[in-house]
Amino acid sequence: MSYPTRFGFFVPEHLSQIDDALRALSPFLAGKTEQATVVPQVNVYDDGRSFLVRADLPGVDKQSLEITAQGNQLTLKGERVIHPPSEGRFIRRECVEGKFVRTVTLTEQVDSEQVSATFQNGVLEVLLPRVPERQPRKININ
Amino acid sequence: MQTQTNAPTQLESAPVSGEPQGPWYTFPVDVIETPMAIILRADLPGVTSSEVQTELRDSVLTVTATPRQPPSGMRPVHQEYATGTYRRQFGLGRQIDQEHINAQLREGVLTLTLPKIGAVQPRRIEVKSV
Repeated sequence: MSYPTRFGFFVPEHLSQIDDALRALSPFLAGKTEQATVVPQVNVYDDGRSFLVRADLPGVDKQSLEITAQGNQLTLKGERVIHPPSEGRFIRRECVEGKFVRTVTLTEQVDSEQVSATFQNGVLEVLLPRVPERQPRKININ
Repeated sequence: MQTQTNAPTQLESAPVSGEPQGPWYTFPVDVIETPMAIILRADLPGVTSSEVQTELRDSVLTVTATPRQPPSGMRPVHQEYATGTYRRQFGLGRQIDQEHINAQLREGVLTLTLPKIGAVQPRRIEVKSV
């Protein structure tokens, strides 16, 4: 019996295939896709006032994380590095490492000034309050 | 599944039988072998040290952890991964010193150090002349 594996990241096959194809065309094109080799998976929650975007980023150094929010888009950028052992060798490798960029498009505009983030136990949570609704404008008849 | 005791450094996932129902999720693990120990590095995001249980029984090491649940009062609008209990079992070989297994959790990565008994002392077999 086996269980489903829960990875915080997945490795999109097409990225490595594109890179291989580019490399075959010209060495100058190699690495075009190296900007992102893995993609973090996200869950999005909503309470009517704010969105909460949660991503599993185990082993990611907080210093490597770059979070930007603009309009209705949130971009997560960073890198997971698995340090090789100081002695010995890997006899099995399952954990995923690499650079990642992930843009999440939300259904509404968020107030980028009010966006806050926490990173605990390898889980990133970004809270994005919606732009407060504008007050209805009363239109006078001249 | 039979634990391979003749290959002391080999680890393998053992099946779970007669255990409570899931849903369970397995988790990725890197395994490192050094002269002194076998080291497991497991991705367990969202788990605090009090939420990880490691149990050793009949040379089978079971790691179970329940991460934080979805935030209360918020409804999920987009889900790419499910949250549930992590679980995985490892069969330990005879050369693992089961009394001195050490566990550390940092940034969602659990490191288990399984020291080897009498760390690498090659056995010399003397040839006797008859």
